[in-house]
Amino acid sequence: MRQYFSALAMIAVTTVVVAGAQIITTKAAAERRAVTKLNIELVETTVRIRELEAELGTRAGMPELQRWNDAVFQLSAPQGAQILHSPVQLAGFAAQPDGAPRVQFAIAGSGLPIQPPAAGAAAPGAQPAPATQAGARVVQTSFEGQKAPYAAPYPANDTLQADDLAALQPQGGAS
Amino acid sequence: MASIPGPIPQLPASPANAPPALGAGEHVTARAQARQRLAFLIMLFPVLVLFVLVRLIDLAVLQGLPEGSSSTISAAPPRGDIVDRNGVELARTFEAYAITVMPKRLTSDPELLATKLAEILPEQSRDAILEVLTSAKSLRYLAHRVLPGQAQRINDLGDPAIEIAREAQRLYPNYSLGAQVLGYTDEKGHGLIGIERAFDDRLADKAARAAPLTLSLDVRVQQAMQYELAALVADQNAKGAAGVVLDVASGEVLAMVSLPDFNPNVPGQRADGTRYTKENDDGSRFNNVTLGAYELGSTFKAFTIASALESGTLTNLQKQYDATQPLHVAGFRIRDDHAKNRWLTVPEIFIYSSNIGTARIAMEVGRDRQRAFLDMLGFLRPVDIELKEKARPQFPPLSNWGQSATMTISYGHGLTVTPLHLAAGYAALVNGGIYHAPTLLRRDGASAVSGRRVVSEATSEQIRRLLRLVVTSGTGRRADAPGYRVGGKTGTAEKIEHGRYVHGRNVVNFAAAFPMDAPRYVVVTMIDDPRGSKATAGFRTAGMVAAPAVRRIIERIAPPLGVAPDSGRDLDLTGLLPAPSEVKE
Repeated sequence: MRQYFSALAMIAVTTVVVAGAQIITTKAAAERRAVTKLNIELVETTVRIRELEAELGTRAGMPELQRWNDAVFQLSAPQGAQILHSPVQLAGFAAQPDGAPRVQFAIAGSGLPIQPPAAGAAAPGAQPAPATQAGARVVQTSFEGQKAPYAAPYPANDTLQADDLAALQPQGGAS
Repeated sequence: MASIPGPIPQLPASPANAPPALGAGEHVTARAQARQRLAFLIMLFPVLVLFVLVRLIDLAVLQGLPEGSSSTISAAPPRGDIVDRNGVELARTFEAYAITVMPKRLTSDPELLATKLAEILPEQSRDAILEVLTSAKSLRYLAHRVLPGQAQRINDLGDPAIEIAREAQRLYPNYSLGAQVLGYTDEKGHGLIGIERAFDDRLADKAARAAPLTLSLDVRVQQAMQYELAALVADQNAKGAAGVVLDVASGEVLAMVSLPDFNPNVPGQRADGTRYTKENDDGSRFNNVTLGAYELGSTFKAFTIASALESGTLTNLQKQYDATQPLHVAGFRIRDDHAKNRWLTVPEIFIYSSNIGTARIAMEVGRDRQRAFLDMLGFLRPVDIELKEKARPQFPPLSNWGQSATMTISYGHGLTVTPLHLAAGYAALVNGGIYHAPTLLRRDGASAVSGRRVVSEATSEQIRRLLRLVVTSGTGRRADAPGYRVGGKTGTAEKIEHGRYVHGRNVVNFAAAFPMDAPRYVVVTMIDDPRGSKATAGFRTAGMVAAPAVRRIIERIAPPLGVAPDSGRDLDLTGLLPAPSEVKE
């Protein structure tokens, strides 16, 4: 009798182990399917990202930017004298004894001709950023408490603010 | 083996054949054996199960994912991307839509279907589409690279014979920018020219293609140079142009421009929309920088003076040479374009671009040392760069390299090299004397770049002063970008076609470096057959045509490259000229 129970126990243990192994296998397969599905989603997303990157790269490529600059912005490379090397040099523009402004912005697309700074006001090396095309617009700014002549009809107040720069966007078309 | 437990059935006794009857003890032994065998079998099952379990764990845990699962699901593109030194993409592969049609399975009226398709695909004519739809072949491609919207509209037509497939397509987002350098691929994705060809294995390699191939090019520099040279070619009605920007410390090529160019997205199509044929090939796929070999004229004079300084035949730049009258050698007459008709010092020879003076310097150096020096600079073999498209320099054999060849080669005639040869040579002259082979791959800044010394530091410094002098007081004054301390040399040579000089057609070039007090970049431009314009007052010389373009290029590329202008710094040029000198073009 004992021998029969022993055999039965062996069979039961074997059955349990096999069933357990089967459950583990099934669970592992399910997990693997989930991982595979996630991988596929990742790949699809990556491919989609690459497509968007390709579109962005094409639309914002250097030739496109060049075309935009030629047609609208009309900016040119800064001249050597426009680049300052220290805050002291920058401050020097505001501390001129005659009180005339020294800082200028070049803003494109107005259709207005470049107007040079007032005679005697501009220091050497403080020329406006030149747009090679004659249609570029130059706006002079002043420092607080100083009056400055404007080369363009904007802005209405003396000190050019960031919002004023936004208002000076081209009214349309290439100049 | 298969013993049955329990009582053994009684068999009829047979006195002749029956086995001998078992006794009681023998019965007990047989039963025990049967039980042992059964127990053995029962124990065998768990062992087998255990074995299977171990194997499962081995497969699932120790060996990881089943083989192939990682390769079937991968985000790696079918061909590696190409990016510039800052990671800006220059070439990538993406899944585009392609439209195929099986004409025999069409259910719609081909005439009507062709009309509808022509409305969706305006780049194709209705007749061409109709020809595809009525083809006798089983499968035809109707269009490649169709936009998603177009593919949807075609799908909505509902004809089962039209299929929309995804296929890998190579995209060059910057169109013609660096077209000859990047190259393009065939329909199977194999590189045909340029980087695509040179690194075909690397770009197609399954393991390596996941990471982009990083070039030394800088799209900002490439765009600036290509734009300025294209404007110059248009202004001068020139046949073409070439330009290269080289990092003197590493040999990295930051820009390589060859004009005319082409759009590698549609390599079989000319700029005017027509297809390329052998008859109408405008040479736009020809890389002038590495494949075009030219006599580069007076820019070679810097090498002649450097070789004289190195060989010891020239120890003092104030040494004077007779340039009072043209030289006559072996039937040739060597004369000066800006003749001074007097004795000239070396700086004067250089800034006035005196052929006579340079030829006399070369005669002192001698043929063997001249040839060895040019060989050391790599001028007697194809330029050492990764591209496959490389020209072999043309020069006289040693047996024919006599006195006249020594003289003419000294000022850049009788020897053809590519613009990239010239750029690499100038980089070695100005960077302290170390030659670095040019490369199109970005070099790690931390690793030391190998090179070979070709001139001494002292010679390099003298050459830098002379080059700066040409821009401040000589033929290259129009290249002087304020604040950037530009130095350089002009070169003008008659063009060679089919082995003969073509009178009236020139190749002009300008080899420059900046900033000359601590050179970082060499800029070489070459214009093929400029015709003169209002902007150059009709002149077609390098000083009038190429030098202003170099100034504009440097002013554009210097800020993004981190070269700060400084009008307060310059090389000390005192003592080179006896008095301020003015040179007319």
